[in-house]
Amino acid sequence: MSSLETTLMFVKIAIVLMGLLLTVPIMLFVERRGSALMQNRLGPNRMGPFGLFQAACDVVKFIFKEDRAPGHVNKFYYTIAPWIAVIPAFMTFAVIPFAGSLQIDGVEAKFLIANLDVGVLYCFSIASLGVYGIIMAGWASNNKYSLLGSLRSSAQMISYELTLGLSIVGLMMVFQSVNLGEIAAAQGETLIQLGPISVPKWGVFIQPLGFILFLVSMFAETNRLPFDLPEGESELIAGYHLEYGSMRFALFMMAEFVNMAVASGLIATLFFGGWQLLPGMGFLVGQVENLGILPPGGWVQVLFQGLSFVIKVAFFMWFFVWVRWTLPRFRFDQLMNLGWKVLFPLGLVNVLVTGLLIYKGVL
Amino acid sequence: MLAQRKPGFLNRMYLIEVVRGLGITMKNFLFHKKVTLQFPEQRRDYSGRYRGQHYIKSVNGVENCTACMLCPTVCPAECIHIVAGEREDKEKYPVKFEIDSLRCCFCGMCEEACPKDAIKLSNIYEMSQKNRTVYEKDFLLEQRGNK
Amino acid sequence: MPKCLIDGKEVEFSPGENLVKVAKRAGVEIPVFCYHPGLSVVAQCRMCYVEVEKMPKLQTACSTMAAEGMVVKTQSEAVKKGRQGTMEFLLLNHPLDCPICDKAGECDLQDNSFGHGSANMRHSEERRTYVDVDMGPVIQKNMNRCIHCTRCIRFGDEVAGIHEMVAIKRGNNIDITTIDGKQLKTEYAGNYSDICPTGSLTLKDFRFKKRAWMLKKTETVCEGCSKGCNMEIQHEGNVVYRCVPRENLEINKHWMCDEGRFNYRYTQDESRIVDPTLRAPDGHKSAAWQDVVATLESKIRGGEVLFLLGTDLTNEELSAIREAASTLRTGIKIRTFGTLGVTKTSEDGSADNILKMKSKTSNLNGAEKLGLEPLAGDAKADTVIVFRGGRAALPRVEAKWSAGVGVFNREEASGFDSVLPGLAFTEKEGTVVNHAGIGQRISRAVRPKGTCKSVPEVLMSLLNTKSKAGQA
Repeated sequence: MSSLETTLMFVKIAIVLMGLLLTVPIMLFVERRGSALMQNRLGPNRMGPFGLFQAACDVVKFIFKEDRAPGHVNKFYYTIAPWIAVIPAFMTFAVIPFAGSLQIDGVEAKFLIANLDVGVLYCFSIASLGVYGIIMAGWASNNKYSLLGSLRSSAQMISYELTLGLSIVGLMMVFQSVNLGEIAAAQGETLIQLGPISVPKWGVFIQPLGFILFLVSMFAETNRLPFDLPEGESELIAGYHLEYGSMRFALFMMAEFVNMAVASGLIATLFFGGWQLLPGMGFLVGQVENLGILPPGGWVQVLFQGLSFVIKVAFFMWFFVWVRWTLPRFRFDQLMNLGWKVLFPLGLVNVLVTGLLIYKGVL
Repeated sequence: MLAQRKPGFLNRMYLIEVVRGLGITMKNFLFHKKVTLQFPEQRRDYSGRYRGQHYIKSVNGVENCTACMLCPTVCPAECIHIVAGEREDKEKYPVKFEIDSLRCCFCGMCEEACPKDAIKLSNIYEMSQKNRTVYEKDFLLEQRGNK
Repeated sequence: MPKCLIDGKEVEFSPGENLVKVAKRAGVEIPVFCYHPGLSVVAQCRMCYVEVEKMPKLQTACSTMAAEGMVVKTQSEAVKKGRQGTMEFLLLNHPLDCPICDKAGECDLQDNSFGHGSANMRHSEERRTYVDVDMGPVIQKNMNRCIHCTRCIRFGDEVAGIHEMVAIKRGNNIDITTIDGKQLKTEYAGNYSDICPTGSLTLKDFRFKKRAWMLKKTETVCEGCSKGCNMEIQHEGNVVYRCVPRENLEINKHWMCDEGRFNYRYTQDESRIVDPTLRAPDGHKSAAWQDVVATLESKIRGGEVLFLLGTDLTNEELSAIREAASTLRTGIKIRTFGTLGVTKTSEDGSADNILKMKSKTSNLNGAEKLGLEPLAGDAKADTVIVFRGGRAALPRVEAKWSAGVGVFNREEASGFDSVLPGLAFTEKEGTVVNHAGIGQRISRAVRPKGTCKSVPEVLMSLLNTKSKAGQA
């Protein structure tokens, strides 16, 4: 590996890590004020303009709170559980491309940390590690509510992982790849030309059912409402993180927000063209290149690709918040019924239909 | 018997309903008037008949109260404790006048019973405090209301 | 018996009865101020107006004797108007200080004004005011409130036997006061407060202590002397605030002396012993009940033992002690004591020809009827146990060991080796027999103070201790 490649690698890791860590305070703010406004309240608006510094205050509060562990916990697992929950969340983002590629000194710089051929599979396998953190937290807390929460969590995650996997099989069949970089790149092609408007070959257009299944499963995987049964404060108080406070609790919260970011990134990459420019952005790219502020050689293109990706991810993260304050929580049996009796068969049907369509040559 | 109504297929799919629900939240998010009152700066207008913090009215520094004991008599919570006494400038006055704020139910019966216009429930509703559960006479004599 | 018609009801009466009494029997209440059943009739308040058929004008019910076939209307328009007019006149000068007045709640003027007066007044001039005289330690005077019913003047003349209250000046300047503004001398001054229909004469003892309507009332009998005056203990929250006489025409009529009225004070005095004590080298020390009872039991086991029983104990207590004494051991001498110089009912008699008796204990007659012998001379024995209700005068006691059972103050207790605190008359039930042989019941008004125990309780624990010691 050349030194340039090593440098590029560190730069990419830095970009991804910074981006993910930044989402946490931003999401704290968005979630709190968003929920408030949806409920016709104002929300926290005292710290700084529009309450923007509220997130910073929250962080400071988390850091300075007393870090105490109850006497009845299993110290070892209790301590490592939040880390087990938060680290896989960050790792998953390694295979998600956040821009196209660039030629720098003859080296092709692809804007994803690890260009794995098993990309999607890697994603799912690492993401499913997160459940260990939750189970550890629940068990080590030595509290029945925590344990029940983590039990629910594991059952829910395993159930929905099936649908999650099945829902993108069709997509893989169409794109003939599980490498996220290739899938993202393949979505740049035009699907249908309707006069002046060209509909891109985004996953959502060729796999609408797959998209819905994936979206629902992703909500369940990230433990967000309406599938936040592991926390379910009305029946489980706070579920697996009941016995956690200060920074340890903040780690769980961070894991949740990063998971949301990863889920949004996956949705964007698989179904919305990933870093592919948003409609109308091609014109902007041309204008900016003509200004000549940035060096030539695709820099503007890459920048706008990154911007597109961020906008797509941001929208889906907002969507997560939006759904949270719209839908009430499922009951556990409803959750299981939905997972096994509805989503799982639909996923199978989707694979079958996609296969038939490919055999017929439609896709 | 309860009428069994089976929702239609689209209804059971929930997807359309979910989208409609999302629309409603977004409508609230964007357009609805926010009901939050920014408390210390903005204050809610209370009716003149609102019954809040007690006080004993005094004229020229002399309390109106003559310790006639009508308020402890009428008090349903039995939270008023008065000891009567005599002093130079007033034949009968309350030596001790205590209101147990934890027992008081702010019914305003004392105010209605008072023949001397002495005990009053003001419009003040900010009554939280760190340690005082019994309002002593000195505290009650601060003229904080406008009734 | 002759009959008359009051408000359409036929009532029998004996000749010489006035209409107020007759109407009361018919269930018709006629409002009065100056009339009092225990005093002479003057008919000067003009409140008891009634309409009598064939009489051209309204008549005062108190001074009109019932007659055969008389038809009386107490609710006619003319009567109502007359009473309303009277009320307006009475209230012309009456200050509106009910919130301050101690009489409020049991005030005739309040009641009648509410029942028969008008809600409006036409009087707009300034009210007259007086400077009050000091009436002595019992009565607080407030002439502003007076309606000149002269009940107090008549009470002094006719009942207390002393002419000390007078009405001086006339008309609007009238002043009800004592002669030359002297202090009251009578020992029945408390009754002035009871009979006063307004708050003009109130008790200094009760001044501003409690409002009348807050008091709970227990009917009992005074223990001040052998007269056995009927009275009512008025108390609230386990504190006695005052005692007032109850009507009993056979014994005390409507009255009561100050001694009996304020007798309750010693029961809630600071110096009353309320926990059992044993003598220690440096004075009395409070001790546990079982220790004190055990000591007492060991002391009466041998030697010459004398039980001294106060004649202020109830019949039940006296006979219980006698029975317990015979069970404890043979040879316990029992003698009674009460008032110095009055040991028998035959020696008893009226002290002032009104109510007070020479014997200052309530149950001298009862003790005599139970066959208990009075103590002659000093109490001399190895062990002397004194049972006492609270008022009997202690005789001189010469003994190796002595104990007091009952109510003692600290000074009295210092003469004993041990004190077992008992119940005062406000705290116990029982019967007493007065000088004339009338048995009456006393009732419990308040809970005992401290760890005070009744005489039967002390006796029972004494017997239990003895039987346990016998088994051991």
